[in-house]
Amino acid sequence: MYLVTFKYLVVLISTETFKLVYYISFFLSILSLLFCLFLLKYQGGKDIVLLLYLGISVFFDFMNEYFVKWFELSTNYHILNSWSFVEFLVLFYFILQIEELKKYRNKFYIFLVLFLVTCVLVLTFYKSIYELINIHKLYSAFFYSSVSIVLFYQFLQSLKNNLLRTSLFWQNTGLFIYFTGNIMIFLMIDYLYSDNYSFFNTGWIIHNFLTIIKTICIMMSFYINKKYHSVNQ
Amino acid sequence: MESQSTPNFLVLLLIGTFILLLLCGAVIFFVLLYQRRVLQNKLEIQNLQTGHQKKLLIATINSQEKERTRVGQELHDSVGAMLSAIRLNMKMITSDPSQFGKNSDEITSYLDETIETVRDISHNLYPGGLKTFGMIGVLKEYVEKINNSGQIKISLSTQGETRRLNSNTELIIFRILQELLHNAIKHSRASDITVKMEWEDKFLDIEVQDNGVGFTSDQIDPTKRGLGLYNKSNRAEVIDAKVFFKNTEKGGACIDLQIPI
Repeated sequence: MYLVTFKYLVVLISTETFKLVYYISFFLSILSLLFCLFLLKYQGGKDIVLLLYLGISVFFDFMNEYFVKWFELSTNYHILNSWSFVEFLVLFYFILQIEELKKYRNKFYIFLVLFLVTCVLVLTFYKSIYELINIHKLYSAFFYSSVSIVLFYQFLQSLKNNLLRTSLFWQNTGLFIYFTGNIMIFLMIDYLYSDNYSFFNTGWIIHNFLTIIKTICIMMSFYINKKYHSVNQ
Repeated sequence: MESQSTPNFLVLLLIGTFILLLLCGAVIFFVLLYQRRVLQNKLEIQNLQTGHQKKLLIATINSQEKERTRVGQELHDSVGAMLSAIRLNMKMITSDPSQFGKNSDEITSYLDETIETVRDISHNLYPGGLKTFGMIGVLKEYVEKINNSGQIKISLSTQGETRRLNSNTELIIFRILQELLHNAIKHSRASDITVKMEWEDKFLDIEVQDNGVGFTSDQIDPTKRGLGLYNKSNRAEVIDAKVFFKNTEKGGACIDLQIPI
């Protein structure tokens, strides 16, 4: 019974489904980038950083295959590793811009130093950049999930307006769902690449699905900035 | 071996991710639910404040109208009556100049009385001695005046080092005490009233106590309080003071006023 259910699941998470979700996620990212660029004049400093984050993620997604071909490599692991590193730094700059988290800045710097030290140690003693590394991905996921919870707590401490009309709430929700939902994938990323296709597909379907949610939340935050900016004017 | 481990890992991945996403949903749901409750509370407080302001406005209008009626009545009953008497005497002098001596004495006496009455009315509107003698001085004079009438006995005592306060604060405290004493005379059926003023470093504590019938439970309840007591609380709020209405063990009324200085 258990195996029969599993076989149905394998059919459901076929390569076609994986590709479909991947393309939706990729094109939605491009769409959101254009949407956010269109609403750029209504955005503040931290929103621009998030826009930069979207731009870099689209760039990495788009250039992924080309990088592999140009450098004549068999895998794209070094791109995945680099992306995780850049993602941590860009989002770190983003959280530094958040007024509500101002008092935690010094603690955040400690985590940044820890992250950099971890990366250096892993690359020196554990794995090369051309191998799949999950430690810094997991570190990112735990760090940003925790920061999101702290930010939610700060929201509740100083409630002034409806949170659903606050752009930062949407941005935080998007990042929270994305990083928390990805924890299991980052934890099992080695199995994801070493096992069969159904496992690989499932992992990436979940990842892309979470990316779609994150992108929609970011788009929503940009729209909210535009809507209430217009109202204030 | 491999086929056995794959479903295990897949199930682990799916269940793990599902649980984590469920936790995410729970956190977001809790945040939204909490903010909804907080915003609802804020709205209720805002409504209460609006109601409070409305009640305050009614109390202010009522108190102004009461004061206008009182001044109008006093002008009509005393000043008006005396001016009529002066007019009558003047008419008699015009018709019979031989009566000038007798009538002029009466006119002078009526004029003196009128001046005294106008002074009293103006003193009631603003206690002239407040700036010179301060709140304690004016209060002593007021208490003495009531005691002289023999209607009721008021004893005023102070403890600690008395100080002069801001003129507005002194006027508000005097008005509150004036109203409290007026109410006690009018409604409490008391024979003795004691006013204790205790000067502390940061507070002035005033206690007005009588041996009358005391407050009813409705009067003490802040939500059911009438406009009179409400007015006093609001006057006290202007100077950040707190007013407590209670009954003494013997049943009389006790009003405690705590004023930050």
